[in-house]
Amino acid sequence: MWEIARVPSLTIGIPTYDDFSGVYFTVQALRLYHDLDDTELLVVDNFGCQHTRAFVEKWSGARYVLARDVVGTAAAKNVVFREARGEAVLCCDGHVLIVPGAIAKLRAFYRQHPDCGDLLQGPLLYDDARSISTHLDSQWLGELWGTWQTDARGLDPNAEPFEIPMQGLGAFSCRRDSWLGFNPDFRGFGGEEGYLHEKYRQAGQRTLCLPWLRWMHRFGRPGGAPYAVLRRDKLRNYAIGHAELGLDLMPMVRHFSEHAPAAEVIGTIEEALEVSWLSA
Amino acid sequence: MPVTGDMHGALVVSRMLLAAVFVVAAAAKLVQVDAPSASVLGRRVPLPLARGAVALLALGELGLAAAILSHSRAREGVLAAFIALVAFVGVQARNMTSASGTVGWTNGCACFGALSRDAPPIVALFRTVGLAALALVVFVLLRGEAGPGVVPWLQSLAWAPRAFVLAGVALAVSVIAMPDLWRRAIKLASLRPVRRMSHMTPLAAPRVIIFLQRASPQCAELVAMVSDWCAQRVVAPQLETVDVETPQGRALAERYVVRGVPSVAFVGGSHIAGRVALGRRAIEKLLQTTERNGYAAIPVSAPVYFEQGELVMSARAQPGCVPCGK
Repeated sequence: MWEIARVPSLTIGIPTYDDFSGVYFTVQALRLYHDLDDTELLVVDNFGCQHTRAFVEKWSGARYVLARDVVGTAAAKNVVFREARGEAVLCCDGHVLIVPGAIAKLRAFYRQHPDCGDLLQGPLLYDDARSISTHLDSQWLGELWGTWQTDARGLDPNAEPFEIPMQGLGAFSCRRDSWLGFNPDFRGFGGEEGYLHEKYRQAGQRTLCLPWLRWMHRFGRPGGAPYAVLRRDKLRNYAIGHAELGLDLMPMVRHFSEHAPAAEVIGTIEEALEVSWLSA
Repeated sequence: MPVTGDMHGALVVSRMLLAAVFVVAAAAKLVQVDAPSASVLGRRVPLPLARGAVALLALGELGLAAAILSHSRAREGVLAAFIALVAFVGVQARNMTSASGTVGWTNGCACFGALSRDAPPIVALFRTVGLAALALVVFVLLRGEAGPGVVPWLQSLAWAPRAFVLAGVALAVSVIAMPDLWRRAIKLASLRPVRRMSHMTPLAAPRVIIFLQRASPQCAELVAMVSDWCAQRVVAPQLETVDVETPQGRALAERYVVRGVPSVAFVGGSHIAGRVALGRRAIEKLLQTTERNGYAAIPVSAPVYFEQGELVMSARAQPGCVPCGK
């Protein structure tokens, strides 16, 4: 007999790049400590790690997708949403842990808000498992757009959702059909935070903090990141994203000029956007 | 063949028609000179040169129209019109068979500027052939028969036939200049109001301003692309170009927070700037978004910030008359 494939309520999509341990613990924590009923697990490998593939396909029950055409954090996340089969998608990095109960609450939230087209996120939980950052504000710091902040409304996990300007994209969720996508020209690391949030606002949606959707992010990398975090990639992605959204590039130029010669910054922007910069 | 009184009337009406066609063609080129400039002389020609050539062409067409309508030079005018139309046929035919499309009418026909940009090339070709044939017939029949002038002939008619003739010529010229007139009418009638979001700039009939450097070939290409886009709109926005290498252009670029070129800005009737798109990809994206959602859905270029927990958005660009900046 034919069996009609059921669309899961939620896909948890995990983009990864040469990080077996991260994927292992993220996937296993989800399986051990969460109710994954009606939930699909998807791993998108942007590197091609055979150990990750073997673990995901043979042991975890998750779906493995190899996507190496375009290397970059944004590109891998775009693939997560392209490959996901769930009505809604939670995209979380392969080195993120979600607090117990949050997955079930997220499914319930989507059931209760069937027309929600907003970008949903939660507070970042630090390694002490107590401190949180609910959002990023729109300040530039350390070649990144956004500095961690905490809104008192997010301290209580049972509090109501509230609007935030931006947040780290280690974990975020939206309905699959409301996904607006990263610019396909993004490459390498950087340029995602702020861009995606502004894109949702310009489309008339909101970017919300759900205080109970807490996630812990492994910042520590004693062995170093397996990929290069290049200033050039960050600057290029920010320039493309800002240009797409019609945002002023000057704050970005000023900030990056504190870290690199202004001519290099302008040159990278001109090359990325194929424009001639007008000097002040 | 002797020319009868009725034939005199037909010749006068034909001359009026030919002259009106050239007047409309010239006016369409002069009103939106950037649209044909980029396509008539090729997108590799610097824009100032292309604009000058298009302006000269338009002035020539006005001269032809005046000669055709005149009593003493009508035959020479019609002959010149015939030669010009034959030349146009040749260019159009060559472009239809040219793969490169870098010289001449690259996208069908730019004879009537933005009016007939959507006309299929084959329709434009037959149109020009028909006009050339008409000019030839008029030239032959005018041989040795000056006939009455246009104004005396019109004055000799009662008001009803006169109005009928003038309306008929106007209708014929409209159809010749805009072969897709019926399609535009249907499209206009089927327009629906677009969804307006609270933070969107309400732009009813915006201007499109391209900030560029005149000497840049990329900018010329962009002008062609944007003018094509404008010409395809039911409510066509007015296209203007601003050279940032002039003091006025530079001042306007600063006023509208234009950081580089090419950039495109939408400006509404209320003088509130919409988003400024920088670079070809962003400009294409902006045009696509506008095409899909309408002018009302052009998001304001606004950095987002929060004040006491409230989301605040505001236009960066300052209001002012565009492009004079007063």
